[in-house]
Amino acid sequence: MEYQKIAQNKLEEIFSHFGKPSGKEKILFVLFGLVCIGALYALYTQIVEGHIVTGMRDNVVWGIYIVNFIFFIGISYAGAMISGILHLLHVEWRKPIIRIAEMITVISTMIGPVYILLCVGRLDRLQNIPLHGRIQSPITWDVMAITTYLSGSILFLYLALVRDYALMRDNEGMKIPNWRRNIYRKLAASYYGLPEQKKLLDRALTIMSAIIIPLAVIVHSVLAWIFGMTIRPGWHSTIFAPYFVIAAVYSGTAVLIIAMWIFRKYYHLEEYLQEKHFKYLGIILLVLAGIYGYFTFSEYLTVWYGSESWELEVVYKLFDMNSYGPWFYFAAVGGVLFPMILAGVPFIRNINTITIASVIAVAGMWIKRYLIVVPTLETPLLPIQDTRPEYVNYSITWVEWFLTFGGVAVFFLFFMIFIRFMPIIPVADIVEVNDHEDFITEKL
Amino acid sequence: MKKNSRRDFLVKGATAAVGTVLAGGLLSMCTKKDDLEATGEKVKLLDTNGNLVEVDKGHMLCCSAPGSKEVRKGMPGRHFVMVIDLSRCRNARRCVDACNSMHYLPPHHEWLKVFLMQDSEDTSSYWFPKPCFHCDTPACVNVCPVGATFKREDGLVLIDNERCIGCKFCMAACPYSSRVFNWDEPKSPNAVYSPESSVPQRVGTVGKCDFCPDFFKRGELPDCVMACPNGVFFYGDKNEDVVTNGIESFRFSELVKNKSAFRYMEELGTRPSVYYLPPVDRLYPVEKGFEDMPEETRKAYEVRRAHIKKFNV
Amino acid sequence: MLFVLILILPFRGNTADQLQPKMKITYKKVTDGTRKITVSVSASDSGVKVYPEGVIITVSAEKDSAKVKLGTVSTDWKGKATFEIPAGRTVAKGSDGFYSFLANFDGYGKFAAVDGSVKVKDITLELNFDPLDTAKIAHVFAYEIGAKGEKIMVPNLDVDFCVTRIFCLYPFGTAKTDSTGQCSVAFPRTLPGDSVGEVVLVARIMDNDTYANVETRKSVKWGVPFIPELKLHRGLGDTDAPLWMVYTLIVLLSAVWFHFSYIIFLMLRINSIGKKMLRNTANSAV
Repeated sequence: MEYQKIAQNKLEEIFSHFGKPSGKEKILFVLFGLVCIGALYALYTQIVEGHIVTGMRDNVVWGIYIVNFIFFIGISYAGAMISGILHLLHVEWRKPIIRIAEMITVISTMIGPVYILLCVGRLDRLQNIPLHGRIQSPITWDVMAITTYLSGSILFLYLALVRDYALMRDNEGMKIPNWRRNIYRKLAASYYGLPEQKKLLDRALTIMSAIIIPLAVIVHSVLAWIFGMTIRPGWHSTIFAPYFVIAAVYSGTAVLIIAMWIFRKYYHLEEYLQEKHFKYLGIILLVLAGIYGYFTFSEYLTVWYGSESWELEVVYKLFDMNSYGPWFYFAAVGGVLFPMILAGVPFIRNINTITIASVIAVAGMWIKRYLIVVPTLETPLLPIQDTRPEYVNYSITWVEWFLTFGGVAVFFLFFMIFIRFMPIIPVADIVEVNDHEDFITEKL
Repeated sequence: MKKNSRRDFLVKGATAAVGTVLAGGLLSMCTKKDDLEATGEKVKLLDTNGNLVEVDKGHMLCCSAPGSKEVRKGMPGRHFVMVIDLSRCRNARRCVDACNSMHYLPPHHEWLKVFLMQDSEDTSSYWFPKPCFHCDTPACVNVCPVGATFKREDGLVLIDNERCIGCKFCMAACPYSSRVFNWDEPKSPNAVYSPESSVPQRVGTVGKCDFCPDFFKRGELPDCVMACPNGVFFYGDKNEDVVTNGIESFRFSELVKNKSAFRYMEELGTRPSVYYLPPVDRLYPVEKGFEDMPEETRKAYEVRRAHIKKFNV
Repeated sequence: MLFVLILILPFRGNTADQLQPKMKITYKKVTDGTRKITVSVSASDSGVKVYPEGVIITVSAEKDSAKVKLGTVSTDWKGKATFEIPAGRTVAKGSDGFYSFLANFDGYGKFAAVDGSVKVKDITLELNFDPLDTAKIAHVFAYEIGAKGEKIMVPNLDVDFCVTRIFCLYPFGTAKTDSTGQCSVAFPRTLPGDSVGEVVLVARIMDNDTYANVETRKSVKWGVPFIPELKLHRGLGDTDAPLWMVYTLIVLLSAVWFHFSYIIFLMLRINSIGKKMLRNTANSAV
């Protein structure tokens, strides 16, 4: 009796934050919609006119599409690592934030692979991958890993949602249209909180949170190996896989903090997303920034010290203030140090500074990925001797920009839609289950 | 090693025109199958100037269909190799033109490139013609997700551009920048495609030097070899141990031994099928290659020179 | 090396916009005695080389300024045509012992007319060897056939000893015939042949002022047998992946997907437990 009442009240309270869209929200919705239309037009242009409309050419064969791909798969780590690890460790304070984290995972894992498709010259021949697939190719690994990862993260998100779906199904206070209630009924899988059901669901969640961690590690390692397996300066490095994994968790945590800040600020979920959550995540961010900085230092120190001319050429392009220097120092130094200071020094640390630290980290990680992809491709072993400037240096075209912002817009749009259909704060998790019998009898 | 009067003649500095005319005539006597029958059947093709020309189908008949077993296996018992004599190259670029015209490639879209190389600041620069190296452990083949590019038993690395999905991973993996992407709709004639002729090219797929198996199936030397006024390119079957540039022929094993041949960037472990003879006792000074060079091309090479100074690479 | 005569005859009734072609005519006699007269016609059209395709070339023999037509042949797309005179066919010979072959192109379309001729003496190259000779020495006997059918030895003739290779004849030695019209060269011990060591030996004279091009071929098992090595068919670059890779992949993928399926199974059980409970409570309420 008690439980059902408290839980339903909580549920209604949470959904009250996501009632009729406010004016601001409507404007944002239109804005993101317009960006998406622009991206669709860019996509149409690329399909009709071919890859010539992008900045990609014979040397820089992959541009910001692959940067975005790494970026989105990177931020998907929010759910996998934060939610998975904290679940396994039974960390109590994780409960209000896991839904946001897992949604970031699912949405970004759906958006990310679109970018790798944009790099493919003949989308009409994708069936060749299952037909003639060679498992020696890291691309094949990537296809398999990402499909598995996406399935896994959807499953993980769903498992955590089952109890909330049950609450939605049983809710009487809110006006939920019948069709939606039917969907909730299907998704709730006849879950009534029976001890046996609870045991099985717990087992499923534990297995899933254990499995999603190595899965996420493998996905990003495979991604790193696409670069690491080629004999190219700046790519052919043994630490590339862990380096990518750490960068991914780092950016994933940062995006999670930003998302939490937005929900707290604009949807007034202060009651659930408290300062302590920001501080705990801020500490995780601090640690990750440290590890990331350590990897970066180790990578470039080794390469620079080794002084191989081919490697040095790329490294000097990154260090040169007239070349990629400003970006490199911002991403590799600033992107590590600023977040560490903002999230680490106790008397500066607060919700806003931690969020600023996260914004810097996210920007830094995007730029860092650009610096991993482009300068290396601009430095082939045999020097580029081409008279066409677009073949010597990569420059991002409007098509690529539109599609990049399109991805970001889709990310936000997905969130804006999803939060109206599922509780963004896991109600069943935060309301302790005391009396199962009550739960059942109340229903009947 | 066998030297004959033609070599001496060349060494004395034959003009390009005479060299080409003689080479054309000589080859007809030199090849084994010089009396290959024309089939009489014609196919209509667009030539590089956009004119419709009729070509004997024998020109294409010898090629195996894409996806067939033969095309992936190659000529049994062969291992094709190329020896490039850097001491003879003066960047005449006839090889580039010949290759582009026979594969209907637009200007700048080069499968065979001539680089200006300089190993260090104090050493001399030299011209470095570079086809695909057809490596024995090819990085590009390893990474292809669909087996569109493959290594054959006769040493060739070919591309099936009817299977290629255009992911460009092979281009990223090739350490020699041998691969060129068809960013735009290629202006190839509407011919019967085979990975052995590489014509026509397809938009959104990768192309590269194919060592011209359509030519050697007829016992002919590729156009780059024939077009070279200085006999820079030697081509042959390593298993037969003879390479030829259409005028001279050498025992492959003796040539690479006696002239200290090297393979470019041996340390990468790619085991190329292209051997270079070092640029010693050169026929022409490197500056000769800049003569009659269009301003924009010269600029590209100047960039390279500045680069050598800056990075000493 | 090669017997090439390039004759550009003065124009014959061509107009100003007609192209004046060049004709190249070569003569070659091969093993079975067949004589081949190859005619190449090409012209330069504002710097671009063009070839008359499918035009008729008339080949004739000349005997003391009397022309005897031998036949006609049409050019291919490269402006090339080869006229063959079979071994048995007798061709009129000049009183000096030379054959004189004329090729004539009457002009067609934009191409003006052009003539060419080649003058040769007949010679026979006899290639002899003992297949079991461990020294692998090849002998050549060069002779002309006299007026009464007698053999006249040809001394001081440069003969190339070659083997056939895919793109060329590789000359492994050259020798001059002695006063008896004979010469010999040893076959190199290290030269590879096919899988049983068979090679095709070629004795040839090239570009000779008197005899033009003559060659004789014979095969013999003197080469080093070449056995292609069997390659492993599971590797990074092969169609099939190395086995450890296949196993690793199967283990990893099946482990993960097994757990996914198990979780779906758990969900199905949760569902059925819930439904059963609902049925039971409904029954007991009744």
